[in-house]
Amino acid sequence: MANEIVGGATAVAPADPAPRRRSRWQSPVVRRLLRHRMFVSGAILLLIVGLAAIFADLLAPSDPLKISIRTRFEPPGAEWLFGTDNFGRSQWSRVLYGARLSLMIGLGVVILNAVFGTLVGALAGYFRSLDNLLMRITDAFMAFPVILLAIGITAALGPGSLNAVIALAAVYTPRTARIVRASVLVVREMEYVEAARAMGATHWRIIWHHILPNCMAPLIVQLTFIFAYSVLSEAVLSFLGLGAQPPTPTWGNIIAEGRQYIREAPWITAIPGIALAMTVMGLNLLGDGLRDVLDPRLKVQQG
Amino acid sequence: MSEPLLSVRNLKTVFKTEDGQFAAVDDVSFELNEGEVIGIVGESGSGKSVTALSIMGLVPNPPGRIAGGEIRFEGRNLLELPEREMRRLRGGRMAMIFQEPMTSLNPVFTVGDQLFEGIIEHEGVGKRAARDRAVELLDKVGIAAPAERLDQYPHQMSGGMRQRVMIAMALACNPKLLLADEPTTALDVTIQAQILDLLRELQEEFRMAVIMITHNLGVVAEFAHKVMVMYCGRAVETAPVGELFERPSHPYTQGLLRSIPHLDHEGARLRTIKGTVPSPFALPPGCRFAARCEHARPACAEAEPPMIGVVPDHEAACIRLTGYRHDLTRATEPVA
Repeated sequence: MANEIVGGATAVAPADPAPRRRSRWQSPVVRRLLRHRMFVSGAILLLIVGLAAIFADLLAPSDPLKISIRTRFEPPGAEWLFGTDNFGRSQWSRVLYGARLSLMIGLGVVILNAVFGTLVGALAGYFRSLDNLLMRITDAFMAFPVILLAIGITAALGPGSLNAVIALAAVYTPRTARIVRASVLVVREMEYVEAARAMGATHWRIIWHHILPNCMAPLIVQLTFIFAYSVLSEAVLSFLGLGAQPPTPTWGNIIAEGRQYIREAPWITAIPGIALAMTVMGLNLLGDGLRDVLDPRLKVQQG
Repeated sequence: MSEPLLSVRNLKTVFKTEDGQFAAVDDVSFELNEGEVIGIVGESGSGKSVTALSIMGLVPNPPGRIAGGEIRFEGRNLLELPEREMRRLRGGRMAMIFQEPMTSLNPVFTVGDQLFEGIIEHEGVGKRAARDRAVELLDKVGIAAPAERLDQYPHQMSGGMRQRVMIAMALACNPKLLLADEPTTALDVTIQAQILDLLRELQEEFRMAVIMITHNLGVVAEFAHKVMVMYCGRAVETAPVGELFERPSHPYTQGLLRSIPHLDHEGARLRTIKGTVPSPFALPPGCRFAARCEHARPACAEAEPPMIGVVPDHEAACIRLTGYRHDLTRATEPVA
């Protein structure tokens, strides 16, 4: 009789005829991502920027800090690929090394954001008694315009790239926390969470094992945007002299220095500007692609 | 048999809402012996699910709270147990299966991962032993090719199969008490019958006590040994299952039985119980069913009727039974 039952049940289920063990990299999500045009173009853009940053010392042999008065304001050309700036420094070197710092700052903000945003969001969403307290604090943070608050925090901590990371993380964490909280609120009401509780699971196990994995999709997407925002905001902070200090190149302070010469040598501002735009566009495309693919409502149509 | 496996005494579970506080379960008592099946019947909002959640210690708090009574399980009062002990009981000595097999499994993990979780947690065995046990369990609940199914995700299975997996999860640690909250409601009729058969087989094999929550009297007739009918958070009638169907004594039970469609009564209009369930915030004084009861009399509104014995083990909360003792030799309809 058991066999009959199963026969009936399998007939209903359009299950795989031959269920196999698949590794996560061959999973349908990855395959769908690779077919997603926006995701792939974003990934390629970021790959270019990322590789340029990682191999900056190979690609740009000249010292980004080396001053040469005789070669000031050389336009882009065969000898100076991206031209030179007001101190005769190679723009090519400066933009590549600048990519390093800009991306590292972005990555640092994203990591801090992921950790603290998830922590605060999960606590607020899961333990309802903490919700009001934590959310009012995040509201207080979100009441300030992003840049203003970041400027305030860096001004208090002192300028520097590490402090810029801390400031930007503090500014963006409440946003991430809000998004995580919203997903946790939804997922915590799912029956499998109640089932896990009925199985005797602890709070931490429920949060870590059952709730957070189901909140990953919006979080990942949010983090790609945060990355883009923080690369931009770091440029703004550097531009204002609150981020990395000259002569250390970041895209922001290259643009800041170049703005005085924008008539005579527009390439000084334009090239890091283009690099920045490319990175942000790459991140946004990546985020959009991830959102499309990870959104379960779209899965059915594409799968 | 000295003490019953589970004894619920005067359980009262209240919920606090913006409109005030109400008792979702009000003064409910019942007992359950080892290997015995009780069916709890009632319409939506009658407090049957909350009764089950109270026993499991899973009443969402806030807004819910167990305001009074006693729940004794294997000689211990669950309401006094610390949360850590309670957690050890849940999924170990007592387990629960839920209504919606579609949402009761975590979509991001394989079925196996979810089965292992309980086994590793409660039995303290390693991953390999847990896997062997999981295969055995899936086989037991009638899933073909269990070893392969373990590595599948919930969305690759049908509703009936998922409910089988849920049952396997509940059985993982040989519970003495199984709470089944409308386990077949969300399934196709044919699958419902299969799942019920499976549950009964497993119940007999493991000698589990089962609390079967349902609004389907057919399920009760098939599966339960005794029945408790709930209305507005109160038990209105308790009886052995045969007794209940033979001699329904509370007008509400009688109404429920009459509103089952019969295939052979061609053309007859289906009887319903008139009116709606009163708001839990505005419960009438006296009998809560009085407003919908065809036998209501002025005395009904004066005091809440106590449980009155009809025959041994059969009680109903209706004042018309006062002073009434059914003569077992005379098989006539008692009151109607």
